[in-house]
Amino acid sequence: MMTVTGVGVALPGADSATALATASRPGDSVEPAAVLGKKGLRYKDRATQLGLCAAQRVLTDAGLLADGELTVDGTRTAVLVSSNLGNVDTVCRVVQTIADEGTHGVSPMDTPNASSNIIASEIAIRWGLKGPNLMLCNGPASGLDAIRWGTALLRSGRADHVVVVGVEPDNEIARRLVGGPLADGAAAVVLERAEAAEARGATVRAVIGAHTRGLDVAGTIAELAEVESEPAAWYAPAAAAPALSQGLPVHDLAAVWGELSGALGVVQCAAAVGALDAGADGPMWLVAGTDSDDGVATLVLRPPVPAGARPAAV
Amino acid sequence: MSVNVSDATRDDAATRVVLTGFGVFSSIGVGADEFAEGLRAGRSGAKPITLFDTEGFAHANGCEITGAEPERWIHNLPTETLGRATQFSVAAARMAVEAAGADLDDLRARRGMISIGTTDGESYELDHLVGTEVASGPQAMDPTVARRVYPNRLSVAAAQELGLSNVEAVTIATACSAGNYAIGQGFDAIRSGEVDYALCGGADAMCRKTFTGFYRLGTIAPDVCRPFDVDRKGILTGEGAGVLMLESLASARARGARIYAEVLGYGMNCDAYHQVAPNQDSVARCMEIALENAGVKASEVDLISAHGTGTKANDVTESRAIHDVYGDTVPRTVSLKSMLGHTMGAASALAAIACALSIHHGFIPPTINHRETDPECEIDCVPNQSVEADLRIVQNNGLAFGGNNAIVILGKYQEGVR
Repeated sequence: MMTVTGVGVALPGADSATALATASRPGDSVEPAAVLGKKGLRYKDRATQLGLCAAQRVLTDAGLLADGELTVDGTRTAVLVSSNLGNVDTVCRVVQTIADEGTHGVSPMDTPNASSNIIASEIAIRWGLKGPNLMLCNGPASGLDAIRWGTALLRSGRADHVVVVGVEPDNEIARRLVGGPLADGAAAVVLERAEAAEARGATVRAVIGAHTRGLDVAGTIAELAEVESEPAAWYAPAAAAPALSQGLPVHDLAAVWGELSGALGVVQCAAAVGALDAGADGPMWLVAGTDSDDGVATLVLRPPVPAGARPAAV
Repeated sequence: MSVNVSDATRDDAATRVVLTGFGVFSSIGVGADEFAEGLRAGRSGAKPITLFDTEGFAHANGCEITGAEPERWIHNLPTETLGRATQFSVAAARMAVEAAGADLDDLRARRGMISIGTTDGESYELDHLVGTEVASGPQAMDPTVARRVYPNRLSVAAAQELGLSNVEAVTIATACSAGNYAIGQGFDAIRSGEVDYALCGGADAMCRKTFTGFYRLGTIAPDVCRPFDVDRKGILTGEGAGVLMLESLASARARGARIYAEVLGYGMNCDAYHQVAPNQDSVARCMEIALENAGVKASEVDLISAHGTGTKANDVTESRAIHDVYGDTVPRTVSLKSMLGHTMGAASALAAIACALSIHHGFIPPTINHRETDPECEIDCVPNQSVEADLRIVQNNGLAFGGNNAIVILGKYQEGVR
């Protein structure tokens, strides 16, 4: 059984799962220096800084980090980051600098920063997380893809703890590419097998149920319905709503936060866990992507199972 | 769906993963046959860069692809909607399917994965877009070009071109080891039963941004790339795509497919140490993870295809890490980057294809441009001339900025034996 054992949130005005679950509009923008301290932030782009904020919070929330030290084996801890825009501002700025000033204008510091895996690797470096380290830029479904891939790493025994971060920065270049403002924030979850969570005394916040991926919303949720009990709530884009069962709450997080792009699936998970923490009914069915996108991913989050009432291994 | 891969029965045809076809775009050959010939002949892809303006650089050689005509393998998508890297990836995907002799209608009825690794995505297109913006303002930016730049196009466009709707199309951006990550993802997905087949690999196009970045780091070689040579001066940037058809042994057998090699396992880890400096202990650990995952002893490995960039830092660190794992009996260790340049996200995919072709055809590709092995490297890099060899197990190293290491172990396919 795969579980969620921690949530980290760094969205404008929301710094926890609870705040995320109850927010109705963005607040003040995230100040990474206030979360992480100023040291080492100077050459890092906005997406990396936001990702680090969410990562620090999720590691702390899950109990993987205490007093600045890891409480688990860093070599068995994976980092998965989902971001479609990521460091595109750095990449474009470097190209522009070359065009404006010639090659001498480019700072050597920009070479790693223009590398697409910068967010995931910076998170690994900061806390010594030496397990598998991946960056997904997989379109609107990317966030849920990252969660699903996290569970695959746990299943295949390639990691014991997986930190999944979804992040999108808001900047002029990113806006131009997506045609509007982005959420400028990040969310993160820690995934572990139930046994691993139990062994270290961690609190299970949600259980990961079935997940599907396909071409359209109707098809992917029909597949879920074959194996999962009816949802108590939806987390889905507004454009997916017509395909969802009616009469249930539909949380369209982009309506609250603006374009979430590659962060969406992870922010959905974080918000759903926040709602479950507050006693909301489950399961929550999450949908990222719509029929007009390249693909649709779904995931079911169930409430934690009380001790002694666990079903056989899923 | 929730199968624990590590518990899978090893000799079960459903959980053995084999390679049955390759799509190749490289500066030394297009297609597996031409690529194999190039590898055996020790062909060099190095030449002056023509893809972008190199005025102001004291030296500007690269391993550019010329005259490859990827559009010959793109039948359904308008090529003007595809960036340079995506054209390579889409064409290589179709080439892999065709080379594998797989029927597209049959693939459409099954669950698959398309996973493509990259370093730069479509930075070649971004170069042009930003160039236009700087020269003539944002209003002059071509919307068709702007739509090409999304990195997920690398995998999604391949699915669209092939009409494969029942696939997970993933683009992996773990830079210079991304091709091995993609192969690993496909391997796990097939072993767990999640998919029946996977088209995995990597793609990148040369771009001025990356060339300039490496140039400013002082890591671009003035003439050619000389991995493990005492006089090595760095990398040459390159481009291309490599796509591998992975399927279960059961699937390959059922359709009577030619099997080039078997994927025995892989390992990945992260140095969590430094953005650009590789870490010896961590690279060594990644090799151990890969060997362990493959169920292979170090003494059984016949060849290592090194990451072997030809920089001072990489080659010493990597060869020391190899010594840490292999002790005094280090297998022959070659660097294909001597021939192909550093093809970034395509590098470990092209190298994996090269390893499989080496196993299949029975030779070891050389490390070309070699004059004198650096005493600090202490390996037999098979200088300049390929050699005949019966290869059973080959290790393919992929290391990347950010300390993202991924290592794939391939083996000769033998009926009933692993």
